[in-house]
Amino acid sequence: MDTKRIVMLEAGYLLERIDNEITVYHPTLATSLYLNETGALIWELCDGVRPVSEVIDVLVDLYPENEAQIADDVRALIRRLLEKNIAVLR
Amino acid sequence: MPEYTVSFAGFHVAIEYDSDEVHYFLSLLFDDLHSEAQVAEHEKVLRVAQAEVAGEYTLTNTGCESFSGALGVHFAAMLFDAVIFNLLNRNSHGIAFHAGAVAYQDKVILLPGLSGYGKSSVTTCLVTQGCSYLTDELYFIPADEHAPRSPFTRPLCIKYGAVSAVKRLVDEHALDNALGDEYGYIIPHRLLNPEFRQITTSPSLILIPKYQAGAELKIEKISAAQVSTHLMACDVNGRNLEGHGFRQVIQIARSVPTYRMVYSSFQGVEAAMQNLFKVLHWK
Repeated sequence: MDTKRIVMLEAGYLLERIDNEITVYHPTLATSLYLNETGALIWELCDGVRPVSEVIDVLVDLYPENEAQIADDVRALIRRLLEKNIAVLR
Repeated sequence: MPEYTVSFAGFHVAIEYDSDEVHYFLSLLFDDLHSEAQVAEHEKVLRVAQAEVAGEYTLTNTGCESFSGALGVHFAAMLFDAVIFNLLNRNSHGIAFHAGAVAYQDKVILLPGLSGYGKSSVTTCLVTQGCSYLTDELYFIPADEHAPRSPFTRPLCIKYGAVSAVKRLVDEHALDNALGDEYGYIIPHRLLNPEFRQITTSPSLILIPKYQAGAELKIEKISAAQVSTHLMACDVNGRNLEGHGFRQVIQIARSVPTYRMVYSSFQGVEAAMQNLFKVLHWK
């Protein structure tokens, strides 16, 4: 994954935050997605402005003790978003 | 040709039939959903009639022959699909979940799941352990919170792959009186649940069954965000609803405690459910 690229979320999704977790549903794509607390944070950092590398940097600043894991977690979640067509990389 | 009307959640499908054999078959499948009264507007008229080949029947949908075969488990599955599709095709009054449902002390336990999750076999298991049967297929929750909920009460439909597990749960009498063939079993639910009473209240518990080969039985609480994602995948008529019913699903997910049951056999389920009822303060 080219981490210089920006994650762009497909417009039209419905989102609900419940107890620091997120459930997302896209009616046109008829696809749903559950994001745990970490996933919810990554989702919110994918704001259409930050490149993937910056999403990783922000999280490493917040949780330096998990630095080794964070890049993998971010990439894995973005891959899920791409697979479900909820996001594209630009 | 006489008609047999099936009604569910305010919609009706008429099935034309041409013989006593077909009428008996329709009664076996739809007895709890049958309307005797004349219905002014049907969603669709299906037809089940004898085929040219002896012992075979044809299912006709919109003038097209959609299936042909003996009046057995496979025919029933095709007929259920056609009837359910037409009953829900224009229903925008609420959400129909692909789910089993049973009642324990008049509290409804919803068992949502996609095909293969084991809804029918877990439903059967719970019925044999003292729960009352409501459905193994579909549960309709109207958007109007005061309107009655509707289980699609049909016989238990056990697919071939689940037959051996279910045979260990139900007594021989039930199986002897069920319709069985190489595709599975259709078991009239009154054989397991003779004092049937329809219950139309909101679910008090959501239990998501998940068959996993070799797994130890585990019942664990899951979050509202997790269950709402799961429920959206089981939302059968979402296409008819604003936002595919997402807001109604969120409301259900926030208000009903939800557990996931991972299992590979039914050993220990009864004790685990009793523990769960204690946690929920159900007597």
